[in-house]
Amino acid sequence: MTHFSEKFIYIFLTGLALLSWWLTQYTGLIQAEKEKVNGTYPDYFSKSYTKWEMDETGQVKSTLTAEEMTHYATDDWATHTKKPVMTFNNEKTPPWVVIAETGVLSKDGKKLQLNGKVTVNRANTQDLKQLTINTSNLMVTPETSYAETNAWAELISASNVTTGTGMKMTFKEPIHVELLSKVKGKYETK
Amino acid sequence: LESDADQPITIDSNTATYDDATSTSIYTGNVISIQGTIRVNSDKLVVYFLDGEADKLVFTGNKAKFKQTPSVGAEDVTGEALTGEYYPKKNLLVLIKEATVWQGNGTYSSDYIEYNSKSSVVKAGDNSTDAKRVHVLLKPKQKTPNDTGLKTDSKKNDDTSGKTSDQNLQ
Repeated sequence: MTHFSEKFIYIFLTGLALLSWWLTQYTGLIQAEKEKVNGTYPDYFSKSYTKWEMDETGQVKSTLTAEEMTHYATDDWATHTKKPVMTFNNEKTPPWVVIAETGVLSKDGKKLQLNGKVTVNRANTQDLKQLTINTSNLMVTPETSYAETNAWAELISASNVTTGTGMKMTFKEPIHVELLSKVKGKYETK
Repeated sequence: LESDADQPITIDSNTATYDDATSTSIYTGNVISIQGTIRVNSDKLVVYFLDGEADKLVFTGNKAKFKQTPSVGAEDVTGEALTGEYYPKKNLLVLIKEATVWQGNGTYSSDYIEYNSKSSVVKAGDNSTDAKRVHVLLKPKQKTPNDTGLKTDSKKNDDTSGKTSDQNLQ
């Protein structure tokens, strides 16, 4: 084996190693490895994830989309999502759109814990003003269109702002928002 | 003050609920509402919205109390009642049930008192019924020593009561 062919083998093997490293990066396997939660590996993941929930009449009741969804087989909080957007449809009024940084769906799909900054928004109509709620760490129960948090929450409608600590709300008609303590309201009169 | 009407209304309370169906916000627990120099303390406050703006505010308490500084340097006008209704756009505060307003030397008591927060006019009683009797107590101004002629008698009160009293006190 001449000196030249030995050198060639080393170069070839190095190239092969670099290629395989690049392939693992590309397929995201390494990333799945990094996201090990409570000692369990993800069993599947999805990019550009969408989940629809229908009502008894087959109408779309709520939609959950996310940039990325990673599912863990044995964890109670099984489905971890990045940039989740939850939409609650209403018959007469525009849908409620709930946006968060990350979200975790429980194994039975009944609870969705939205973490970090959460924005809840309903567009305005001829009769209704736009309503925006800024809060964080919101626990959502999609089935009953209910959500609650212990964190600070801010309710903005037209030029009126009300803030408080702790909030409970229903997304289903009629909308009902309750602020639990340290409430401050401000109404413009001009 | 006249400028009170242009100020935003701020509200502090223990809890609050917003109800889309009735377009109302309900504040409960040690509610303090402030607009410029107008300040109302009550147990509960219901804000009624019209086109997204606060149209009517209803205070209830045992009793709900209000005060306002009518003009710079002037003595505060104070009042209380079981229920108060405030109409920001009309600068009108209506005190209902066991209502009393103290303004300068005058005390006005009735079951129905209208107070204009811009002009500080107090209108007590209600023409359409005998039920809203008015009790007005006007204490004479304290006589200063150099006032001549008139004997000072601080116990004598001029106590008038009638169906309606429309006192335009600037």
